[in-house]
This record gives sequence, structure tokens and C-alpha cells, in this order.
Amino acid sequence: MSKIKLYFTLLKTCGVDALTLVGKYYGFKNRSKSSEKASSMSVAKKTALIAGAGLLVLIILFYLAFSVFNSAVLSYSAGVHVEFLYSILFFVQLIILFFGAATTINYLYYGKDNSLLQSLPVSSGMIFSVKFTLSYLGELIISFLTALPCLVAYGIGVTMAGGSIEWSFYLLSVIGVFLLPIFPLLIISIISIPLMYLVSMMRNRTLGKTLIMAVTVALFLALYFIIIFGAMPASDGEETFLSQGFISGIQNIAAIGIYNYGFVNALLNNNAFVNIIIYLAGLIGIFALGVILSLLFYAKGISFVAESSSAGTKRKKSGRTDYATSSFIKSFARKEIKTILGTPALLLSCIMGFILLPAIIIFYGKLGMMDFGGEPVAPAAGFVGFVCFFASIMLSSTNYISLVGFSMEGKNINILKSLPIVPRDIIKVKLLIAVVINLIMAVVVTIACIIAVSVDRWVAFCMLPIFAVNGFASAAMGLYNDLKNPNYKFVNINELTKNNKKAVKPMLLNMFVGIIYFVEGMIFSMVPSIGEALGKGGVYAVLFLSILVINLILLAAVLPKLNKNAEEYFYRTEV
Amino acid sequence: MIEIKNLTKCYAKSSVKAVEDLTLTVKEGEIYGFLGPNGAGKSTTIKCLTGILPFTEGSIHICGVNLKECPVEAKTHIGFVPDEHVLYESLTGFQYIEFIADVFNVPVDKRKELLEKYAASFGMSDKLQDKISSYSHGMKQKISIISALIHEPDVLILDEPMTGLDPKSSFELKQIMKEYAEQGKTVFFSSHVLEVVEKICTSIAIINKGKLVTEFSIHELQEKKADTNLEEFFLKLTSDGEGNE
Repeated sequence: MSKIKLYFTLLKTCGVDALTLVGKYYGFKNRSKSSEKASSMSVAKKTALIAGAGLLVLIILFYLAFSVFNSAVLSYSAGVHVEFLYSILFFVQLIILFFGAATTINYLYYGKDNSLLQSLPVSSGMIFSVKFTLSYLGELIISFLTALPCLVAYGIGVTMAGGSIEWSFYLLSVIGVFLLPIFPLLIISIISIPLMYLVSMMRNRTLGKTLIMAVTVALFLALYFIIIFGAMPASDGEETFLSQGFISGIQNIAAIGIYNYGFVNALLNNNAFVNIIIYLAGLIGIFALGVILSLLFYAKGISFVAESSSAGTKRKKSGRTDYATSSFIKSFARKEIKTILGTPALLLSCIMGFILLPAIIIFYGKLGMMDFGGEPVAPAAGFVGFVCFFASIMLSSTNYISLVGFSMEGKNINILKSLPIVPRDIIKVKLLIAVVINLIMAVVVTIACIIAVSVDRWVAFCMLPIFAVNGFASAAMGLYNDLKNPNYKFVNINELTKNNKKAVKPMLLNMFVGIIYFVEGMIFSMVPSIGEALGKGGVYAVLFLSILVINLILLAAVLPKLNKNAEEYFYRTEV
Repeated sequence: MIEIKNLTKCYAKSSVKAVEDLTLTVKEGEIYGFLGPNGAGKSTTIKCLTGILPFTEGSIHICGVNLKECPVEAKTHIGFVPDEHVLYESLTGFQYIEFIADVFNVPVDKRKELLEKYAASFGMSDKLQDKISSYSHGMKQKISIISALIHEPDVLILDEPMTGLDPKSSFELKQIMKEYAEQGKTVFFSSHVLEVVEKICTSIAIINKGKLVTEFSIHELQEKKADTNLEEFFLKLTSDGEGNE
């Protein structure tokens, strides 16, 4: 069999799981028996849900495109539109890197088919190529959603500012959707090879792997914030000029993103054909480097992982053998915590939750954009509303312990069903742990606000209970949604922590609710007379009380449902 | 004891009855072998019996307790070994047994005594501190069996328990099953290993396409069907005429 034919044969076979993932993403069905029952929800409800999700995505894309359009107009006026184009491509690739890093490492090293593939007469370079392709295919959707609106908005913006953009720009923008993910995913694939060596040397490989993945993602995240926030136009009221910070920011990015030289020039129709060939040749070169490295090290990397999963952690000679009785709640909580600590994808999602929002706040703070001390109250209230909005999104979207609290049991759910346990007790424990995780995040965000933002201390402290209640409500909603519509048959943990459309519903609800806080803050910010009339205490009282009331209403709605339907939903899913 | 009356189970959105009108009784002191070809409905019956799957019609009583009406109480009498080696892989074997013992409120001295006994029987004493993720299939099966025995259940239900076990462990398990029956407890298990069933069971049932085909005691097999063995008898009853089981 020729190598190309072998490649496609392997891709087709290994791609079943990946296509299942993509299928879930696009709404194809691969559901457990009870979810079919659950899917008997009305067409109107389904349509509303899809329309809601679509609307939200459209709003976000519109906001993104609008920002790029404005900046493109301004950057053309300032003569830095080429640098700005580099920044857009860099931004898209950073997003792909952020979303694709953990997935790529999972595909490369933790696929359940790795041992099978290793036993076949195929080179590790071939396995690497197939796995890389699967990871690439999975990230195309991110590329499509980010690259296309940004590039099209850029083209229109520059044209409207008086620049000349050829039709080929738009054609290449579409091609760019397919080209842009290659570089960041190759980088993470290549970086992962020494990373796996590092992990293999660690005593606790599971924790080591998680920490290394978290640090890697956090590093890229930090880079992302530095660039994105560093390159934000200063809001100094001047509409027609870019700040010097923005200009120097995108100039720096253009220097870093020089590897996109060929594609940028092709987009701008400077020797388009030659430049696209140069760009493709560069990608092929890096891919070849990846294949060569994989021939040398990848098989060893997979072996390390296989070894660590079959040999387990190094045996504890003085392990705990002291017998002790515990209540079910304590015993189950212990089991839950060990499962989270032993599942890097879940642990990573928790850690990322603790990092992301505080990182945003601290970066804002360090950029000097958050000096809200003293009077007037308007801008500070606007910021507090934004933080509450963003916290609401983060609390609901990063806490996978609630979002997939039941699904993460997998087929172990049958063990639980066979035990003399009341489902409500299981819910209690899962909810408790999810709430604790959200509480930790609430504390971290509050500390970040105190450190980086010069709002009054008492305002920052008041945010803690607000976040706590918000965290409780979002955890309860996430857990209820997962209990109602679980996925116990996942093959790859990515199916739960990424591309999980079932988890979107509580996220969306929290986003919509969060928008209320954002709008409230904006109103206080844009209509200073309200702040003057109510005073600082009055403004925050209105803002915080409204958030509190909304979340208490959500809790009052979801907790009785969770309690009432616990038995039915727990037992109805047939795995 | 186990009492199953007119058990019928249809899976969601499926018109096919995985189990249809199944009635059987397993008394105290019996080792009951539950046989059937692949897809006959054995695992579905066992899942209904252990409260994992809800059933469409009929009733199940475990030690006189209605499983549908009082599931928690009924399950306190059951020790269950599933057919799949699915366990909490992040825990060590010891932590898993402790978890199950906690669920069943097993006193410390009892769990210590039983765990030491069974771990020694199955050669797991020095493996208990290892993570389950590092176990072989056979070792996972052993931990699953120990966890089912740790609370000394009145009813022991095992779904293909010999799968993956080494000869010594297989022998130990058969001994344990016999001991259990001698103590007046009930053992209900499914298996494809007909020799094992023939050797240790007191009663046997054969199920095919969701329906009970026959039920007999081992003495009946020995006396009435002296001209044949269990394997031939099983094949005769479950053959669909196309050479398939």
C-alpha cells in the first residue's frame, strides 16, 4: 500500500472518534438511549435554543468584526494597516492555539487507539501525521469563526478608508481559514514532544501533565492578553487617531508574526502567487520538521504515556492502609476529588477558570485602565458591571465539574446505580464540590480586583458574596442540565470538556443573564446623572442587589427541579 | 432470595423486548447459573435485577424487598460484579474497596478482616495501593469481586465473573460461591463457561431472545439427560437453525 493510501486509510479509521466529535459539534446524533427520550423536547424549544445560540454567536462575531473594521479604518489612516493585518492573523492563530493546545496533546498522546496504532507496521511519523490531521480538522471551526469575519471586516475597513483591496483578498481569506490553523497546531505538536519527556520524568505524572499543560496554556494566554490588551485602542475620546501604544503594539506583533509574511503579502496582492507558494513551503517545512522529530521522539512519547497508564504512579510503599469508616457524603466527595485530580482535562478546566478572569482583570489593571478611585462613580460601576458579566460567563463555562458532573462518571454510573444510594445524596456532593470550585474562583477574582483595580475596597469585598451566589446558581444549573441530558458514553474526555453542545444551554443562560449586569453597568457608566442622583452606595446597591435577586430567582427555579427530578433523571439513562 | 415475576424490558425507542415475561425464583442456598447466547438478555436481566435499568413490566423482589418500591433497601442485600471492567480508575484498589465499604456501612474490623482474606485469596494484597488505572483486566475483575463481597451480601450477583481471571483466582471464586451457598446465601451468575456452570451450579436457566427457554436443577440434568452434556443441551436449545448462536 502506498504511503498516501495508508495515510488516508488510517485517517479514515482513526477519524471515527474525531468525526463523532465534529458530528456532535454540528449537531449530528450520537446519543445514549435516554437522551433520545430527553430529546422529545418540543421543536419550538429546540428551535429557540438553536436560535439563541446562533444569535449569541452572531452578536459576538458582529462585535469582533465591528472592532476589526474600526481598527482597520484607523490603522489605514495611521499607515499601519499592514501591521494590523499581521496582528489579525496572529490573533486568530493565538485563539486556535489556546483552544487547540490541550486537544492536540490529547490526540497525540492520549488517544485510546495509540497502542493499537503502535502495534501496526506503520511509522511513528505516519501516526503523528494522522493524529495531527485529526486535531487540525477539529480546529477548523474556530478558524472559520475567527479568521473569516476578521479578514472580511479588515478588507471592507481598509477599502472604506481609501485603501485598495483586490478581490483575491477575499478569496485568500477563505483559503486562510484552512491555512491559518496549521502553524499554531504544528508549534504545539512540536513543543509537546519535549514536554512529554518532561512529564515522564515526574513522580506524579498525572498531576505533572496537568501542571505542564496548564502552564503552557497559561503562557500562551498571558501572551494573548499582553498582545490583545496591549494593542487595544486607548479610549481617550479621540475617535480618529490610534494611540501610540496601539501602533507600537501592532508593530511588535508584526515583527513576531513575520512567519505570516508570505500569506500577508499574498492577501495584499503583492506577488500573490509567489508569496502563497513561499508560505505553503514554510508550512510544509515545519510539518516536515514535525515529522522528523516525531520519527525520533514521538513513539517514545507515546510509550511514556502508555507506560505511565499501565504501570500507574510509582507505588507508595507507605500507602494508606489504615481502615476508617466515613459517611457516604465524605467518601463520595473523596472519590470525586481524586477523580478530578486524576483527570487532567477536568483539572485543567478548573485551573483555567481560576486563571482566566483574574488574568483579564490584572492585565486591565496593569495597563492603567482601571483607575476608578474616588468620584465619579460612573466609570467604576461600568467596570464592575463588566466584571460581574464576565464572571458570570466564566463561572458557568469553565466549571466542568458542574457542567459534566454526571457525564464524567462515564460507565461508572452503573456502579452508582447498583449501590444503595439515594441520587439526591450524589447530587449534594457534586453540587458542593462544584460550588466550592466556583467559590475559589470568586475569591481569586475578588483578590485580583483588590490588587489590580482601584475601585473602593468595600466594593471589591461586596463582589465576593455576589460571585458566590452567582457561582452557586450556575453550578446548580450546569449540574441539572447534565443530569437531565448526560453523555455517559464518551470515548475521549474532549467530548465532555470541548465541543460539548449539551453543556451550551446553561452557559447561554448565564451569558444572557450576565448581559443584564453588563447593560446595567453600562447605563450607570453612560448616564452619570443616575450616579449623581443615587450616590455611590445607591449605584452599587442597585447593581449588586439586582445580581443577587436574579441569581436567587435562578436558584429558586433550578434547585426544586434538581430535587424533584433527581430519581427519574438519574435512573432513566440506560448505558 | 430473588423473585422475578413477569419481567419485561424494552429499551427506550425500541420495540424489541430485550427481556420478555421472565419469571424465575432463586432460593437461599442456591447457586443459579444463568445461560444464554450473546444478546439473549442475560446482562439486561442482571442490570434490571441490580437496579441499574428500570424495567417496563413485572416485579423483582430481593430478600422480600420490592426493588421498584424500595430500591435502596433492596440494594443493601446485593453484591454485584458487572461484566465490564469499569471502575474508578483514579482511586487505588484499597480506596475503591473503602468507598464501597463506606456505602454499605461495613464496620472497620469487618472490612479489614474481609479485605485481608479476599485480597490474599486473589493475590491482590500487594497491589491494593496501586491505582486501578494500572491494573490488568484480571486485577480489575478481582477488585470488583472483592468489592461485591466486602459487605457480605445476602445475594451475590455476578455477570460473567470468570472473564479475565487466572486459574487460581477462578478456583478461589468458585470456592467462595460454594461457601456462600452453604451459608444459605444466594448466588446468581451468568457465564459462557458451561463446564464451570455444570460443576458448581445447583440450578440453571437458559434464556434466548429475551425469553426463558428452560429452567432445571443440576440433578435433573444429570438424571433426565444422562445421554447428553450441558454444552450439547445448551446448543440444541439455543440454535436458531442457521448455525448461529
